[in-house]
Parts: sequence; C-alpha cells; structure tokens
Amino acid sequence: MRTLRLAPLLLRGRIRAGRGLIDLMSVAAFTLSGWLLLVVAAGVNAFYHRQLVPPQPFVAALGAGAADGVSQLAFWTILAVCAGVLLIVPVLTLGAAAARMGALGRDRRLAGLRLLGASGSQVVALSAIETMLAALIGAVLGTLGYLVTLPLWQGVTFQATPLGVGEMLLPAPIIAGVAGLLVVLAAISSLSGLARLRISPLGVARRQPRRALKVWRFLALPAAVVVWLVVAPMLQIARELALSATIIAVAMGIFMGVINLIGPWLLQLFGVILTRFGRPSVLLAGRRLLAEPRAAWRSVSGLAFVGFTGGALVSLPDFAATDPDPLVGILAADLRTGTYLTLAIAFLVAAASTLLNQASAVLDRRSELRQLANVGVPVRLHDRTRLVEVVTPAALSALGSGGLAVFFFALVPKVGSQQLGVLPFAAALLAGIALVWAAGEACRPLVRTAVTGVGPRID
Amino acid sequence: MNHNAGRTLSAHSISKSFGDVHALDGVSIDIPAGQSVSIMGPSGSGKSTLLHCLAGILRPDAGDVTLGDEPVSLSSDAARSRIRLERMGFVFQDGQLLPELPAIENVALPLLLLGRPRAEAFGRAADWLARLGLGGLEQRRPGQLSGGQEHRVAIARALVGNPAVVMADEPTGALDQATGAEVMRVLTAATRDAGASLVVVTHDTTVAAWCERHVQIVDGRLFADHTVAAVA
Repeated sequence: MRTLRLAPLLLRGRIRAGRGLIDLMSVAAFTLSGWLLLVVAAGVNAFYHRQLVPPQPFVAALGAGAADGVSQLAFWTILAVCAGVLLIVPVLTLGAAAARMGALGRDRRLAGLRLLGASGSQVVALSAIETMLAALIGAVLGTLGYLVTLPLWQGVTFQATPLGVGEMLLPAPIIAGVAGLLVVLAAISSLSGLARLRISPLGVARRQPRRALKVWRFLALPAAVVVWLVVAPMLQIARELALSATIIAVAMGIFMGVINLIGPWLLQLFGVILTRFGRPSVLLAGRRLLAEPRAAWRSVSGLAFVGFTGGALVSLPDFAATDPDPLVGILAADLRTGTYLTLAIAFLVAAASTLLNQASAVLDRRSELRQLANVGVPVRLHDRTRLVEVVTPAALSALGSGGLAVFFFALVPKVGSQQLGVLPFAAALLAGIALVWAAGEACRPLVRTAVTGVGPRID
Repeated sequence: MNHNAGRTLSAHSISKSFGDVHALDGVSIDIPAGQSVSIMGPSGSGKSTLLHCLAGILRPDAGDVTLGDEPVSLSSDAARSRIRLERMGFVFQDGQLLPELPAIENVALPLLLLGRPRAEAFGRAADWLARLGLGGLEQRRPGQLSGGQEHRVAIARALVGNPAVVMADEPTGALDQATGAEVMRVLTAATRDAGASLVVVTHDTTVAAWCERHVQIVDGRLFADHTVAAVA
C-alpha cells in the first residue's frame, strides 16, 4: 500500500526530471505492440468466423465446388494461426523491449530509495508499477489505433471477400484480455530486467555478465536436416493440397524454432570474427554483439521470419498454375496476400525494436559517449559502430534464414512456376534490412544530443 | 619516441561564462613540456572549466589556447577532437573505459582511431599494460578489474599515443586513500617517463602534492601559482 502511494509521487518527479522522452518512446512501443497484437488476434478471429459462416462471395466464386471449398475453410484458420504464432513472438518481444527501456535510468533512484530504507521488494514493485502504467497507457492507445484503423482492412481481400469492419472487430472481453496480456508481460519483463541488477543502498551493480552461448545450439540445424530428409519426400506422396500445405506450415514452425536457437549463437560467432578487425567501429560492434547476442537477435528475429518465409515461397511451386480448380487459385492468391501482410508486420516490428534498442543503448551510454567525446573520439565512430551493429544482425538473420529456406525447400519436388519470384523476394529482404538501417539511423540526433547536450559542471 | 614532447601548453587571457556565471575571468598560464601541475580551488571556482578549455573540450569566450604552435581553442570542433586524440591523454574520475572492451582493446582504441595497424596498436597497448603492472589482465573487462586497476588501464590508454599533455580530472575521486596514492604514483611516474606534461584538477591536497607546480583558482581567476618539490 505504501508502495502504491509512493508510485505517483516518483512518477511526477521522473517527468519533471526530463525522463519524458524515454517514457514516451516506451509508451509508443507498447502502443505499437498493443495495436499489432489486436490486429493479429482479429485476423485469426475473422478466419475462424468465416469457417463457421462461409462468406457469400467465396461460395459464389467456387460455384459447383462450393461444398468442397467450405470444407477446406479450416485450413485458412490453421494458416492464420501459424502466421499469428510466428508474429506474436516478435510483437511480444517488442513489448518486452519497451518494458526494459522504461526501466532505464531508474537505477540510481532505486539505489537512493534503498538508502532511505525502502526494502528490495518495494523498489522492485515500484519499478514494475511504473512499467505496467506505461504498458496500460500503450494498450489503451493501441486499442484506439486498432479501432480507428478498422475500416482500412476493407482494402484487404481473403477468400475472394474483402475483410469487413465487423469481421475485424474483436469482442470487448478479448480486447480487454489482449490489453491485460500486454500489461502482465510488461511487469514480467521489468522484473526479469531488474533481476540482472543488484540494487543496494550504495548503488546499482550489474550482476556477472551473461555466459557465452554454447555450440550445442548449432546442433539443432543438422537435427532439423535429418527430420526434414524424412518429411520432405512425404510431400510428394501427399497430393492433398491441404495436407501438403499443413506439413509445410508445421515444418516452417519447426525451422523457425531452429533458427531462433542458432541465430543468437551465430551472432555471437560473428561478433568474435568482427573483433579480429582493426577498425574501431567494427571492433566495438563485434564486442557489443558478443556482450548481448540474445538481445541483438531479439530485435531482428522478425526479419529471420521474413527471410525464411520468402525463401520458402521462392522454392515452393505455384499450385494455381497447374490446377484449374478455383479453390486452389483463391488459396494461392491468399497465400501471397497473407505473406505480404505478415512480412509488412514483421518489418514494422523489426524496425521498431531496432529503434527502441538503439535509443535505449544511446540513453544508457550517455555518460560514456560524453567521456569519449572529451578524449577526442569523433562522433562518427558511433554512427559507424551502429551501422555495423544494426545491419550485420539484420542481414545475417534475413539472408541466412532465406538461404536456409531455399536450401530446405529445394528438396520439395517442384511443379510449374514459383509462388514468389526471386526478385520480389530479394526486394523484400533488402527493404527489410533498409528499414532496420533507417531505424538505427533515426538515433543519430540522439547520439549528438548525448555527446553535446550534457554541459560540463561549472567548477 | 614521443613526437609530441617539447610542446608548451599555453592559455592567454581566457574567459568563459555559462549564462550569468563567470567561470573563468582572464586566466593565463604556460605549462612547459614535462611539467606536472595541479589545479586546485573550492567547488565552483572554475578549475574544471580551465581544464576543459585547455583540452579544447570547451571553447573560451575570449582569449586563446595553444599547444606548441598549434591553436587549440580557435580550431573547429572536429579539429579540436583530433588534437585531443593525437596530442592529449585523459584520466577521469569514472566512466572512462568502454565496458564491452577488454583492457587491451580499451588501451589500443586511441591508436586504432588514429588508423594504426591492429598489430602495432595491440603490441603497444600490451607494453603499457605490462609497464603499469597489469600484465596478464589484458583480457579482463572493466567490471572484472578493481578500481585501482581500472584507473591504471585508463592511465595506459592516456599514454599509449605518446601525448604531449595528460589531463586528469579528479583522478582519484572514486578511490580510497591508499589506492588513490598508488594511482597518483603510477600516473606521475608514467607521465614523466613518457616526457609528457600532466595537468591534474583536484580538491585534494594529498593528490596535488604529487605535482611539482600548484595553481590555485578562486572565482575564475588565478589566485596563486608556485613550484615546489613533488612527492616523488
């Protein structure tokens, strides 16, 4: 109770002390997370309802084959759930990054409170309350954004039917549940972030640095290859479109898991390689990758999804080209639309995560940046370091996972033309990497403010 | 060989204000090559502002600063950064080392920034760490070193580029007395051996005693300036 009474007092102090920018960015990230969570949930919900009540344009487009088409509607729901599951991880990660950013700059104040006699659990609770408040504001704003943008979905067509406002509108309890999920996640992230700090009355110290990631992670890849060598020939046997596609969807899920397992380890390995260079920006970027390979991976894991999905679609045949069935034509078109939609969301999340992580890092290192400027380190070193630090994981994850997908799906027997051409795929990857780069560059003014904004003490 | 040696750091009638506060008011000082100088004064007297002006971190409102025949205060921000990187070394109270880099890379960083080959930069960094008693700790990160060891790494970083001047702002402020004395012993000896001048801003007379010349700043003006025998 005492903690609850303290929270608003400290929050006001924080705003007065000019920590507003950090909180604003944190709330903005929660808003984006909340909005995207609701959109993903609404998409899955819309497909589920269409499964129960088939849309009329879909039935009309299929003509005599309508009964067969309606029986396959569950497959769209499965695909929507797959896309949702793959998207929800990066979206929730963005929320977690927002929570960590919100916790920024509290270290010294928390230590001050401990000095005054506050218990360890009280200061942890205070931090969690502040983060949950930011998440709640973000969830409310995200909900408003979701409601306001509902009419835009009418421009997107699935199953030969534009998405209606009513279809994309979630029931109020689900909206409340999603908002609640965001708030709970924020609290958990805040607490786990504080678990790395030892808050004593004499200051805040970081616990031991994270241990290096072990090589066993890489063993997941050959294991996946062995599994795939067994599964891939089954696709030839499974003539049933839905069964083939389901196997592919499940396989993609497994591969995404594998990529998530080996991605941070690969970034760590790449960090080691970068530290062998004599160029200071490359050396520094390599050290930062080595220090936090998981965090670097988290901000670009969405791009790995982009790369893998794109790579898979480059390799997979265009079902519609060989099958005159209108149902197959509708499914092929929907696969493309769904892919572009999920790619767009993944891009957005990767860019937002990068912006948030980089901004966090700059604000966290303000004193260090200032000291480096004092000793004559040119500010462009930070720009170059950021370029390597941001683009390397993005390119590695997008191109690496894309290459992996092409390699794996090369085993699937091909019929006719491809679902997605190489050029659109390459363009998608480059667009994603460019967006992440642009997000990193957006921190350029922040670095300059950090270097020049803190005046020397008049002494 | 120290190609920077032999340069005198001079300030000519420099003044600096922050709003209504006159931090420096017409201060002139010459610091010959190889000399160690302490700048003392009460809180708010302008001693750190003087150090920042001498280092080119701040540009004085009036007057100028030169290092040898090189103008420090009249140069552009980028040029002043370059002068600091090539001709000066710095030791601060805290926040001076990059936490991600092991000791050897922290020390080699100024040389790498100057475009020196990696092997040369790392070789010289290892030499300096060994000279300052940190042999075997090259791969330790700042968090894995004691306060005194971190300061010695900072001293190695300040001297690795053979600077003309080493600037130290409250270099022992975060250390206990014994460690502070050890850091000052290493700092003054290493600077003298390298042929560089040393400018130390401090409020601690025991720290100032390590220097051969003492300058007092009061209300932004040079109040006293005398030379005595240093501790060692």
